[in-house]
Formats: sequence, C-alpha cells, structure tokens
Amino acid sequence: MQHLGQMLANGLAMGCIYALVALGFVLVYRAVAVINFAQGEFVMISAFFGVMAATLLRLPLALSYFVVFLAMAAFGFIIQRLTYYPLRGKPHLTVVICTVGLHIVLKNGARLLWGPYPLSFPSFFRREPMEVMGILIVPQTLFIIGVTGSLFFLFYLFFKKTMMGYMMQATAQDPEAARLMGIRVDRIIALTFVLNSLLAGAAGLLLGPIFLVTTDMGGAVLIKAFCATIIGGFGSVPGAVVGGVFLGIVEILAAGYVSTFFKDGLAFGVIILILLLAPQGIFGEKVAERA
Amino acid sequence: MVLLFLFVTMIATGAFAVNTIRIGFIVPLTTANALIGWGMQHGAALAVKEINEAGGIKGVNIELLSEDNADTNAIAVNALHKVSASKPVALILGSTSSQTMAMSPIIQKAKIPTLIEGSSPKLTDHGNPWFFQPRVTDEFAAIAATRYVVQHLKKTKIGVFHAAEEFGLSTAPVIVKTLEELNLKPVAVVSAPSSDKDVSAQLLQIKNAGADAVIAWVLPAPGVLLARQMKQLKINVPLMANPIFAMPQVLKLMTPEDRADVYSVTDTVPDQDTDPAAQDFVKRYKERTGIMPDLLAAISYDSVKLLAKVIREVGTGPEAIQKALREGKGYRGVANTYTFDEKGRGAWRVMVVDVSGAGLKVLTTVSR
Repeated sequence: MQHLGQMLANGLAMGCIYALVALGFVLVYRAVAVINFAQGEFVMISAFFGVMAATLLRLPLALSYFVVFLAMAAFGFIIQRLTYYPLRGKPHLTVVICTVGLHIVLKNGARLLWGPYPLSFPSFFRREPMEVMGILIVPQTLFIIGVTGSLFFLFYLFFKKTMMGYMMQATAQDPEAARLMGIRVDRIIALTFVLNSLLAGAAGLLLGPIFLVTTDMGGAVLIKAFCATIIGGFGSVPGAVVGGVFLGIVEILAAGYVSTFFKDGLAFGVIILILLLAPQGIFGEKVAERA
Repeated sequence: MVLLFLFVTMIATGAFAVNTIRIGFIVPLTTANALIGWGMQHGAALAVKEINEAGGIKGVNIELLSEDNADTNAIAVNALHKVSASKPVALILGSTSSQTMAMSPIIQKAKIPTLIEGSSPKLTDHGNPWFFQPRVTDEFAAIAATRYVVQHLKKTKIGVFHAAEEFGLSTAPVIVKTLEELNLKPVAVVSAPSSDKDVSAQLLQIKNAGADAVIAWVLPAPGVLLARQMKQLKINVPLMANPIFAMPQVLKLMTPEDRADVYSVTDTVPDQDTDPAAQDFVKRYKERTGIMPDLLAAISYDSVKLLAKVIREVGTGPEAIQKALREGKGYRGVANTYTFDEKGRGAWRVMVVDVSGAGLKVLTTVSR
C-alpha cells in the first residue's frame, strides 16, 4: 500500500507539471483558437532565465522569481508581436506552423545563448524528503502540487467569473463578432500571450530545481502536456488539470506495476483507449464548425 | 550563371582547399549529451593543434572536420555524409553506440578507418573491419564493476538500472551473467529511456526488492537525476555506475549529498595519472578549457595522436592505416595503452573510483 502511495504521490507531482503546461495550451487556445507548439520552449526559457537571475546575477531566490516573471511577461508580449500579430486573420494552420517554427528557433537560440551544457537551478526548499504516512515527499513536490492547484482554481474563476475571461472566450470563438461588441481584440490577444508566458514561467521555475535545466527540457514535457490537453478536452481548464494528473499517474503506475521498458507505450495506449470512448476528451464539448 | 554556380560549389566542397590531412569527427555538440561531446571536441582539437604546431605530418597539417550528431541516428548519418564528401583519411566517432551502429554500414562501404568512442561491445562484434575501439567496452567495465560491488563492497542483493538505449540494453545481461557467475541473482532489473526525468517508479521497484546496492548503466544527465532521486527516496545504498560519475562536468552538477556512496568504473582519471605525458595533457587541456578533462576528452586526444602516428608511418591509404592499427602494439596514450585485437578492441584497463569526496579516489585498477 505504501508502495502504491509513493507512486501516486510522485505521479501526481509529474502530472501537475504536465497540467501546468497543458493549462498554457488551453489559455492560448481559448483566446485565439491556436495550438502553441512552442509552449515547451516557453517553459525552458523561463528555467534559463531563473538560472541567469539566481547564479549569474546572484540575486536572492525570491527576487530571482520576481525578475523571471517580469522577463517572461515581456517575452510573451514580444513573441506575440513578432509571430502571432503579423499573422492575425490568416488561416489557423499558418499560425500553427508558425508556432512550430518558433519552437525550433527558441530551442536553437537557447543553445546559442546558454550553451549545450545542463545547468543546476537552486530551490527554496531542502532536498531531503519529508515522510508523511510512510510516503516520502520532497518539499519542492508539494510546492508544485500546491501551485498547480492554486493556478487551476484562479484560471477557472478567471474564465468563469470575470469579464476579461469572457472577453477572451468571445475573442477565441469569433474575433470579428467580439470586435463588433467593442472588445479590443488585439489587446486581449496580447494579454493572453502574456498570461500564457507567465504560466510557462511558473512551470519552468517549478521544474528547474527538480530536473536539470537543459535546452531539451521543454520538449520532454511538451508532447505529454499536449496529450493531457487532449485527454481532458481541448479548451477545458479542468480538463487540462485532470488530463495532466491522469497521465502522470498512469505512466508511473505502468512503470511500477507492468513494465518500466514499455511505460510510455502503455500510458499512450490508455490515452488511445480513452479517446476511442470519448473522442472530445473527458471534459470536452463538441463544438459546431463555423459556417 | 552556370560558371558562378560551379565556382560556388567548388568552394563549398573544398576543391580549392589548402592541402591538409582531413580527419572526420562526429560528436554530440548539442542536446544533453553535449555534456560529454564538447569534452571530446576539445580533446581532439588540442591534439590537432599540438601536431600542427610541431609541423604537422611531414609538413602537412591535420584538419579536423567536426560535425554535430545531435544525439540522433538520422542526424549522425547526415553528418557522416557531409564529412565523407570532404574525403577524410580517417574518422573518429564520438557518438553513442546507437548512432555508431547506424553509421557502420556506410563506413564499411566507404572503407574509412574509424576510431569509435562508443562503449558497446556490439560495435566491434558485428564485424566491421574498419572499426577500432580505443575505449574499454561496456562488457569489460561492467564485469569489473559488478565484481567490485560483490567482492569488495560485499553486497549480495543487487538492483540493476539501465538505460533503454542500445548500450544499456546490451550491458544489463552482462551484469546479470556476472552475478550468476558469483552465485547471485539481481533482485530487480529496471530500465528507463534517457529522456525520462522521473525514474521514481523504477527506483521504487529496486527499493521494494530490498536491494543493498545498485549498478546503473546510464547516460550522464540521467545519471545525475538517478543519484539524486535515490537519495530522495531514501535508497541509501551504494550506487556503482559506468564512467559518468568520473567526469568533472557531471560532478559539477551534483551536490555532496548526491555524490554520497557513489562509485564509477572508468577508463582513466586523467588528473591522477602520474605519467608525464598525461600530466602535460591535463595541464594544457585545463589552460584551453578551464576545466579538468574527462576520459572521453583524453580518448579523443589519443585517437587523433594515434592516427597521426600511424599516418606518419604508413601514409594515408585506408588499407595501410587499417593494417597498421591492427598490427600495432602497446601505443601509450594519455587515457590508456592500446593494442587492438582481431575484433578491433584496443583498451584493456579500467579503474574503480569513489566519487563521494571532494575529488575522485581510485580504489582499484582492473586489467586484462
């Protein structure tokens, strides 16, 4: 039982990371109906910003986090202006391909800027685990779970209860109609990218201390976060979190009880099964195509 | 326009290049394995610099044609094609065993003498007569590592953790077989792809099986995470691994807690080799890069120097180089002493080191 509890705790932590990145997918999709395939690289850039602030500039860790968030907000705005904004109004496929290109540019740019070597990123917390009912939990893991839960709650409220959230959804569903309703569509889109970048910033800062910071770290979570988004239902905030946590737990249980070698194959097999039963995802809704 | 095109093509293919002896060098300069790739690049480049400063090979300079394999088979093969277009007299592959196997058929067809830094014994087992392995094989190293854990650390319940790539898959059976020869069975054998960041499921299997030691055969970056996660799961047993923990650039990523009770089996620890040539290499490498060289940097250095020696003696003909490498005995490099057997394997000594302390401590040396 303890063994199962330990695996569930670790799977939950990994699942929260996938959920955080998946939330970023959902945020952009809900606002501009585009899948941002550079989302993983946003996470990676944030982690490198963190390393620069903490080790190169030698800022106190709390100040480093604040500086990273400022930098990521600016980064998100600049990326939106350079990539999405010139392509607004163009077919969705064009924009999606642009995000794929952005993923490649950011990854290679990071290599040129920070080099190919993995780097370490300090944590607020000690590395020694705490023992809770026989389950060993590293403090950083609890922090990840707590932050993910809080952000999920905040975003859920944001989309359901705030005017800005409604405006973002209106912009995603029909930018022209939204514009006619008086919504400043361009500003909403810019804000979306900034918020997305901040979300990725949080993911990078949470992930950096537990794994090494490398230019490949974004890719490692991107595919799984994308799958989490699909499992949960594309565009659904609760779905992103449920999908992420589900995937994190399934893959660790597959490794622990079935086969470490076929872990990924088993996890994705379960995903395929779910999609066969619920093609729109667990929380997804069928959306009629626009005329 | 046609003439301009032809002119540009000739420039690109080096038709007007100054006469040099070209050695191709395919190595991971990006991705997580750049951690070892750049060391190899610096080691090879240092050797080339020294040879050229001393007048080259009979007055002709060596040109090192470096290409990145991006730790991917397809890109490694592309890099090989690109390098081959410049007609190198020899190749050095600082690539993992998976990529080396992918390049093998092309090299065999092209008949290029090739020094390979991958450690899988399959690289020389599969019969490419143009491959020479100046690196201790995983088979030799794994046997030494396993015997040390059982006979010196007195452990009997061994958990085996291996990478799900070729070098890990081929080494795990060697560890198991060695344990069987010592009348033991592993309590758990688990694997993980090198791209996995969280290996807690695998480690929990080892912990629940009651392991009193872990033998791991993994890549450097995953190895750091493995050592760390073992401590986080309170798996406080000795961890013996392949040479990854003997590499200075890997140790920089580890805290003293991560390094506690960790051992590595390695071809060499360059800064602890008392040979004057090795000490000189360490000094010049550190002046060039600011860090201590690891074994792969030393092997890359030796590979270039060995090729230069052979080419100086027999010329640049591929068959002559191949024959000279095969028949040469006891070339003393900075990493090892090389004598290539009929399969092309050339290094026959490993060291077991304790990485717990401030520096590496050589515990024992195992030779053929």
